[in-house]
Amino acid sequence: MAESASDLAGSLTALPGMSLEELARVDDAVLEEVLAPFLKAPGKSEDRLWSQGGCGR
Amino acid sequence: MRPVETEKPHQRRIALDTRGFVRLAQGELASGIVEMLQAVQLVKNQLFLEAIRRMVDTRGDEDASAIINEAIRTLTEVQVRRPDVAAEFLLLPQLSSWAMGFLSRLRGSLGTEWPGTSGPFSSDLGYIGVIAAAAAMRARHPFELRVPLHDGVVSFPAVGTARLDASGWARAYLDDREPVVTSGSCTITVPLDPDQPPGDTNRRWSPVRRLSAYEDGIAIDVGIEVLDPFVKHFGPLVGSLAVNQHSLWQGCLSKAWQVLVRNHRQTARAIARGLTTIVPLAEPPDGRPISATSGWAWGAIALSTPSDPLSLAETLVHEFYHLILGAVEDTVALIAEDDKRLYYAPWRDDPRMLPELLQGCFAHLGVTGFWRRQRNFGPLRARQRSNIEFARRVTSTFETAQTIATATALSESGRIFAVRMRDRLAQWQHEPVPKRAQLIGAELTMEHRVRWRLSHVHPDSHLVDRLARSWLDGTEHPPDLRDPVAITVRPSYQLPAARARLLELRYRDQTQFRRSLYQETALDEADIALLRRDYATARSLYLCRLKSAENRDAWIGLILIRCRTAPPATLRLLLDHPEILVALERRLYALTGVTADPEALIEWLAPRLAAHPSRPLADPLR
Repeated sequence: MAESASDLAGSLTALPGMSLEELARVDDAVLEEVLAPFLKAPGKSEDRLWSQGGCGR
Repeated sequence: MRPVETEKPHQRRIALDTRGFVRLAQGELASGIVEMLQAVQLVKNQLFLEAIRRMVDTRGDEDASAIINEAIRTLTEVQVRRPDVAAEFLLLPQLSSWAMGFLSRLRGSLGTEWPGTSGPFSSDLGYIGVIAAAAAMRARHPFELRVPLHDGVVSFPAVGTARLDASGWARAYLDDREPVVTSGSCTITVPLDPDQPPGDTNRRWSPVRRLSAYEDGIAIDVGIEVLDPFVKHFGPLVGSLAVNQHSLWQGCLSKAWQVLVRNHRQTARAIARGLTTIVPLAEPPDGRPISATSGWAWGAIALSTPSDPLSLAETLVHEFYHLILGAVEDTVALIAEDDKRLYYAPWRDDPRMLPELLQGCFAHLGVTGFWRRQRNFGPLRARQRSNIEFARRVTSTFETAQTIATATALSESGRIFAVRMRDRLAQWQHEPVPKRAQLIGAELTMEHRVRWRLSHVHPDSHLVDRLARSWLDGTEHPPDLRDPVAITVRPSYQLPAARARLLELRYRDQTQFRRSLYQETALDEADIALLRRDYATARSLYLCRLKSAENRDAWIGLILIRCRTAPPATLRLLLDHPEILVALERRLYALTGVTADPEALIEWLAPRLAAHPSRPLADPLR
């Protein structure tokens, strides 16, 4: 098994621990690269809403 | 569990380690998991904010740029001075919902249904000023920001609501004394004393109501959100919570928290760390409780008024598992490609796609684990209920995990996750359950499965034709049950679920069951006999209904009765292929104008389907 779960799925860059002030200095391209998987990925629906009960239980 | 981080600037990663990932897939919310996922959510929300700031700046709209830059400047100052307060507000579900909606608005990638995507640009953008102001108020950090009013009201998340009876924009600020919100004609001084009693509010200011509980060293403290526009997508909001309703919620939470801390300590600790916001929902007309979470709103659980503490505890577990997996999906891609197929989910009346199926399966892994442990606690009657709740879920959730584990659209991580879920449920399947609980659980599982298939699964017409010819002329036209297009799923209509609701009530609340049995208009005499366990009468009445007209609902009742005594081959027909049976009966009626005897059809069809070892169901249907 790979070292971490994200190794299995491909590298995930997430700029951990960075403050708002530090983020403001990050290059546009890096920001976009890091942002992309959060927004759009296979299986990620627009609303990501999970509900139960009523008619949908 | 320790987060794994690499060292290079801008290439640092934060990820679940393998052991933590596997334990999570097995349903264990181990120590540290919430903190790690929260760290990712904090990164995500900050990224969204920074991306919004840059995109707004490129528009050349000075007013809009000022709104976003002043708000982020305030948040940055709070982050320097009180990083704990900044993190609290940057992790609020209101902020993440707004940020996702507004960023998508800027990128043109979301419809206008999402809150914050369809109002005036500046006003929707100005919501970030409201959150920044709320954070600065809490940190008691000097600030001055413009905040948009909606119907004369501005609701500061996690702080309170100001009613200014004005329109447009207000100004919020804090100098060296107390926070103030003013529209010019109306000024409100915001009381920030946390010890202020809930009743001590004036007409213009309402502090955010909270729910809290403490048990054996673990405390939970959550805000109640009833007004914020960015939680509206959860469902019908209650709008306000009266004092007596608040007391009801508080009492229910206190008892539910006892259950969770005493019997499910690890889960309770995780919920205490991760849950920040409760969104009360209005009860739907049919009276069935509803609850919801969103992958864009970490920390929030929406639910209608809980019926009892045990149900609240179950709902918190269910929804918290959704939150956890939603956050995991932000860390690890579990699905590698789109899968357009529709699947059976034993907890839903409608067909589901793979991502939703995975979410539901994980939530039901959590719920199944909850009832599994809960079987050991409480008086006999409570244990009996827990055994039934466990019995009705463990096998169907296992089968769902099995289906997911074979889905080709999973990533390698997703497959590991699904396999570990499946294996854990497989272990639980072998645990002893009292016979009565097994039978009741099986009846509920069967009812749902048959009703779902008769609602959504449509057999191929050629298959039904061949069977009809065989029945009518006595010759054999062996159906090709291996044909992968023999059956299709369509999210068509849903058969009524009144019988299922009563089957649930029968073991959960006898008083309510007896009251509802004769008040539920969707039930007829056959259903009432079935629910009273008068199976002979129910059988006769269902057969009468089936002779008079097409009635899929009556078929469900008859099938449930037959399942009680059916041999394996018949059981397979009734549970795996009820839609073929019903379609055949309808085809025969269309050809002859005569209704075939339903029980004779069952006896005739069962061995013919059993002779074909290959299931007629195209993967992923089971």
